[in-house]
Amino acid sequence: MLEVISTSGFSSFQDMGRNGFRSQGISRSGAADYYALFEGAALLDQNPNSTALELIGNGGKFRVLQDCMVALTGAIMPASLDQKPLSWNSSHYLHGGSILELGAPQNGRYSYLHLRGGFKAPKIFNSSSAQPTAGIGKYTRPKDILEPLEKIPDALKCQTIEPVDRFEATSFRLVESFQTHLFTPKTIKKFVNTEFSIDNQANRGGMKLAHTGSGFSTSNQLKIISDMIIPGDIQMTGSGQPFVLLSDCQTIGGYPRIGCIIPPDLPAIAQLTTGRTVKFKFISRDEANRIASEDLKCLEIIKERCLEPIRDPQKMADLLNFNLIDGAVWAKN
Amino acid sequence: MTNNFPKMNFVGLDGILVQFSDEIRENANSAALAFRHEVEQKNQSSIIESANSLTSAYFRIDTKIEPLDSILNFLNEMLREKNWYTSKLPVDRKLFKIPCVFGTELAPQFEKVIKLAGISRSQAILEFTTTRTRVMTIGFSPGQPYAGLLSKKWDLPRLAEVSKSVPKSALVCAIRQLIIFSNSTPTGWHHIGQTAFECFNSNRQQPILLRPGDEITFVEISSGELSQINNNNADGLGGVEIMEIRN
Repeated sequence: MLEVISTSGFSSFQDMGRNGFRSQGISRSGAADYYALFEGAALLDQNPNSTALELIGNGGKFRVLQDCMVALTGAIMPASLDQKPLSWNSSHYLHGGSILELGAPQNGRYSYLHLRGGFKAPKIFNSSSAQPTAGIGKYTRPKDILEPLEKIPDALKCQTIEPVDRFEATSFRLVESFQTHLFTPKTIKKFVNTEFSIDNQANRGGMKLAHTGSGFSTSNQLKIISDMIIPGDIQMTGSGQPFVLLSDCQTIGGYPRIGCIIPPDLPAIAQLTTGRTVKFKFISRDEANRIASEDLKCLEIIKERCLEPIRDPQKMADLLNFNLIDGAVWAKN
Repeated sequence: MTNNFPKMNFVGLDGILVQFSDEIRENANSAALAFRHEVEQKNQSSIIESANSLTSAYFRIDTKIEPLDSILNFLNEMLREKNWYTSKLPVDRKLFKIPCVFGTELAPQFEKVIKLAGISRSQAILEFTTTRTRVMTIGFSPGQPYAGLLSKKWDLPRLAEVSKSVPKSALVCAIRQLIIFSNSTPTGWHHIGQTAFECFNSNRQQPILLRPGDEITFVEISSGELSQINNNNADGLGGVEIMEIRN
């Protein structure tokens, strides 16, 4: 159990998101980087749909109220427990009374704090993913008490995980979607030949793609009938300005979409920080399906990426402060 | 154009869109609502979610459960079963009479929009308070209605540049449709009225009240009356009057 001392304003509970409520205008939501949920779940031996705390911006500071086990995944943040460094992409045993501090992310936008047993959060429309901009759930605030949903008594060793490679991507794969044909072949060619950079206008709903030169419009762009939009869509606003849509994107909209980023590439683009450059390429539906099923297989065996942490006594500054018997202590509770 | 419809298309990697028109028509809307409803009744395990937009039905599919070809065949056969364009609207429809301030500083684009539509203030208000527009779909954000169709003079394009933000419960229009916004949002739609009706309010037993097929009309109120409503609006009903529609 943890108490929030401070977090950046936009941190919230997220799971794998909601399915089945689109017809009522409810977005899919869920973690911007779902690989991080799988990694956290692998480290803590639990369901990837367990609720995690998604941290954006400056991380946060937490008081550990009761002994618990956590995992840290996603964009790497400098992490410490009582000012002693903690490794990222790892699980850790936290003693009651200690202070967990997480700094600004270094290689991405979204970082995740997982708790063994999952965080206890209200389920709204079958999911604990918050989307405060839509009136669903809330951002995490100082003094919030973060409790586990389940108390799991069995021992578990601290582990590290080799993260799924996604923080250095520069090329993203698209499939054609129902509005791709509204763009002329010339506009599509220009689009795939353009190098974009991630604008600072970016949030869980979508990110603006900055570029030089003219926009990417269709004819009669402002009178196109509103229709389905999904995470991954690249939409052109009225002036032909591209936006990548992410988990919190609305369910329908009127701006035309030139294509849709394939689901396995979504965590990677969501993690890109301002100024990073990207290009897009269209691939066939068959190839996209093949990549998606490989991705699924990779997630099914994600536990194989886990290793027990290597603790070389030569490199440890203060051996006595290192908790070498996490599992044993954990088992007591 | 109509000859090419209905047609099937892809939405990203895992979605199928059955489109009944590429322009807003009430019969295409009824067709889309009915088609989605009847597909849902078949309980196909490979269809993991469905929804309607204005003139299409969307199905999110899982091709690990059933191959794509077989799902497409199933939808095609259903399409051929009947003329969907003559489908009846859903049953148990309701009429929502929603109090609204038109224009004033609360809805600054009203004057410009009636000029574009070429009518006077009183003509516009007469139209909004007597016409019953149909909720054609719910979407964009929780419980948010797209209602139409207004007469042809309201066939106004959206703004090319998105306005900074309009408040929750704003009444906006474009392309012969009206929307009441669920949440404060930047938009390219024209802000013509302000209501206190919350499309989504988790304090209510039923957070989302509007459904496709329902009808909306407006009652003109003053800014003062709107503040009075807002003073006692924890349920977000905004003074709405809801009546059964007898088919």
